[in-house]
Amino acid sequence: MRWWLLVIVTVMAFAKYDAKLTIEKKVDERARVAIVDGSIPSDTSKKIAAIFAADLKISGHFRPDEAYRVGTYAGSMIDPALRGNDYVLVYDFSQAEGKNTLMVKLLNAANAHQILERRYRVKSSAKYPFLVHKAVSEINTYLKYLPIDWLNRYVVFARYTGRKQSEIVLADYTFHFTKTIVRGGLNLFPHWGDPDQKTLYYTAYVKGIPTLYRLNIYTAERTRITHSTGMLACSDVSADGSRLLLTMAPDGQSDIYEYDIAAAKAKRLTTFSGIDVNGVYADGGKSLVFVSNRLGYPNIFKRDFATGVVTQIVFAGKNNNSVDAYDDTVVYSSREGQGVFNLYTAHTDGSPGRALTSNGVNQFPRFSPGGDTVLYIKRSYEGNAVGYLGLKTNQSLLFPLGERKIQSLDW
Amino acid sequence: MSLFRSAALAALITVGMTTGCTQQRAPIPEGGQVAQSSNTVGSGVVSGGVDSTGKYTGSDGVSRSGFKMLYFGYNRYRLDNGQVQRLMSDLPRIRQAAQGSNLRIEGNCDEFGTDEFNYALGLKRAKAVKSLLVSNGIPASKIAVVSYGESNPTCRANGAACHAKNRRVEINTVR
Repeated sequence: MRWWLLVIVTVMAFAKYDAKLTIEKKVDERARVAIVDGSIPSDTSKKIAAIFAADLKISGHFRPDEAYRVGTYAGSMIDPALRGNDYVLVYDFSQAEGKNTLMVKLLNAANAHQILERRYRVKSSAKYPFLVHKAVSEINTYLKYLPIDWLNRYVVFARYTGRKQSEIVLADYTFHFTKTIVRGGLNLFPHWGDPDQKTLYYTAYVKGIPTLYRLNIYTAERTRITHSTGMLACSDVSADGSRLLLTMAPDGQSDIYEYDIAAAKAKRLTTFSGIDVNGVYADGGKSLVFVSNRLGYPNIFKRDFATGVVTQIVFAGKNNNSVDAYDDTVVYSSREGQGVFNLYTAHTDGSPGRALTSNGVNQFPRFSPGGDTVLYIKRSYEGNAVGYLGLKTNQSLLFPLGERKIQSLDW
Repeated sequence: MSLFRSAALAALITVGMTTGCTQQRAPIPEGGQVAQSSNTVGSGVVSGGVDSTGKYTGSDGVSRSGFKMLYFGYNRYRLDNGQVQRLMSDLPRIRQAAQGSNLRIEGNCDEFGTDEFNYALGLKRAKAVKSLLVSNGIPASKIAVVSYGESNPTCRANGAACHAKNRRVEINTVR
């Protein structure tokens, strides 16, 4: 009987050894980058160094040296101490004549050969983080890595400012840039209305009645879409922008509706007498996934548009109360007792995925437009943070958000 | 690596997996835990405790219009007998108020749970109260229901009793 024990333990020993080798190899594949501030040093130029490091790290393709270093932008001399890297990224940030300019050079660390040089400009000084995001996404593309264009996108979120008061805010993904675009009263559930992020839908309480609006963030044009007693939320927009998935409660009963914008008509999709919310298009628009307590506790279900058949797709956890979908993959938040919420992936065919977090209060999971990164909010008594998890790169980052409570967000 | 060290390491890994990760401080209790403290923490006096369902057991909540607030257990939207009696004790005044005004029943939640589900939960709580009022003679046309989710807390402190105070319905008159 002892021989099988010897075999198992031996396999375990070697398996662990092979896993360690695999992990180290993946870490070593990332290009090492040193970041040098060639600006006249300022608070902003220092922050830019940190943003460069975050962008490079979350891309999953680079291993930035996070030490803050100063140098000169002109010329191509490289500090010998940096020659152990693959690349040296030198930048110069300046503000003059109403413009904010970021110059960026990428050098080969071994021979100081200039690989590329770019200049980026923006009028608004508050938007300087986007100059960095643009630079890193272009460097990434130039080196022929998989695109990380989501770095350039806005995050939109609602946060509470008082009792029955909340505002809607735009931010870059690091939350170094924030701008309030809707304030006054209760404004909830912002959701982007188009892939280019020109419009968004949100709910405002008008004399106590939840009302859905579409807002153009560039022209400030606001269009009233519909209203519903009880509650109203836009939880998703179809790929062509013509239909919305709404949670509405015209008779005080919350259900999921599909709203045809052109026809101004809503079609009810769920009829359960309990709670059905958070509908999201999945499987290329052939189905929707949603949260329902039809089995006695919040869980994740799928409804096929063609047949109307509803199936359970998550079979673990007893309180899965928030979901997002990218094609046939879902990410959901599961309450696991003692105030712990963890994030998991699963698939629309009912097969399980994997755990993305292991402790804390992790909520509001949202896929990036390409489905390879998950944004989420991590809450604690010390303050909130926005987190990013690279599903393919396994890279993760957290950025502080402060104490105000996030009500809802979209990416 | 020796066989002994492999087996010992395997045992350690197994123990680690079964005991779980370090828990952060629990913001609310699970069902079954009862908080009995009477305390004032942050904004909001918390004079009652929490029962096994997570329902606030105090009797101090009163809405803007002077009607008793009604409380619910964690993730629940049915009124228990105690809360039904609490509502019935206010029924004569509610009936009188409904003769001259409309009523708005506002459902609220604690800060846990996520966006849409929380608002739907608040709405179910409001609807439960509306059903009871309609069953006791108040015209449905005089009553509107709305959910404020977690946007309208009466208590902002940390602790089970404070969170339980926010799981409530308020009845107010509107013109």
